Amino acid sequence: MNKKKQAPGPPRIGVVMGTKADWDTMQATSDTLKKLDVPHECLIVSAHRTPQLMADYARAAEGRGLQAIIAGASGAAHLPGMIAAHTLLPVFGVPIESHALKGMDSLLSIAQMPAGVPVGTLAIGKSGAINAALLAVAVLARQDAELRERWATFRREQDERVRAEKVGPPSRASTFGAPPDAARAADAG
Amino acid sequence: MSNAKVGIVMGSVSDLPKLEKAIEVLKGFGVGCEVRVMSAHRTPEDVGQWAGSAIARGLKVLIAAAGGAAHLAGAVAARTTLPVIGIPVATEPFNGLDSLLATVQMPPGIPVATVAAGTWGAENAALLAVQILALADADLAARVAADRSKRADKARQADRELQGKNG
Repeated sequence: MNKKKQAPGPPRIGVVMGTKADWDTMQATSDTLKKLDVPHECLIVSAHRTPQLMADYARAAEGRGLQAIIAGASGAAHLPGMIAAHTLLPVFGVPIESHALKGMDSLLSIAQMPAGVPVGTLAIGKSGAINAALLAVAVLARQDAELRERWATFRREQDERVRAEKVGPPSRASTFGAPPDAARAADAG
Repeated sequence: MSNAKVGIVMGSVSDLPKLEKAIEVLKGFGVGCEVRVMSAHRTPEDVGQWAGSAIARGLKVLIAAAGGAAHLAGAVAARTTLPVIGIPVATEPFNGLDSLLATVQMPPGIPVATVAAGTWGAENAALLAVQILALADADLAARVAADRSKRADKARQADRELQGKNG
């Protein structure tokens, strides 16, 4: 994943959010897409304050070459569902953590879509923002062998990173799951 | 190799009645699916093997349905890089809120696309899978568009009937 970055092509993913404050969370979506070299665009579109812009954006998305839309919203979080109402592209919703209800309002508003218009909902907050990007990657990877490879590498490195984490005093460190050489060396030492 | 593109797995056979709609939708779109009963808690090895071999068996999207401590979708997602869609099955005594939270609150790094708790969710899981497949299949995309306009017509028809009653 350290190879030289190519010039970004036209955006393949649209990342939209209801308000500027959502960027604190949705930046994690953009960062994750950047990490996996997926060209994307980020913009503010409000289901309630700019309903026409929202509808126009969703309706134009497919023709503009987008392949999925990620929408973050909080409170009465209608943006992902309303975007989904105007496009046949897969839509993924990120419930932003709200002050009053800690994002439970956002989660239920996004997840409980009526039959016929699906939104794939992620976890509340930054975890969900990261996973929305990864889900879009999993979807796009199907038609893109290079992205498939980057996604597999991401998962492998994540696995290795967790394996390398240690807890407790060194005297209690377990060698379980360590590579055979390291385990032998630890046993011998 | 079968021509199944979507794999559906449920934690318990008692979930099946709540998933019929998903299977029906996929069939309606002519999308082949395999349907399995596997439990994240009672048959964890089977789940791991099923999800781990899904790509090799030609599956493109996985759907996992479970209720309560609904770990199945996450357990499936942990073993594959395919897109995984989670259906929270509404169960007693919390009516699916437990299933929803257990399915949706995945840690960063392992995504699950969660749909609504309840039967809407099952239908939408299948539709989301179809929309994902349609990105690479123009015929399927046209059928998705037709399905949407059929649903719009049905909603307008309901309104007309209501106007007729009140008129």
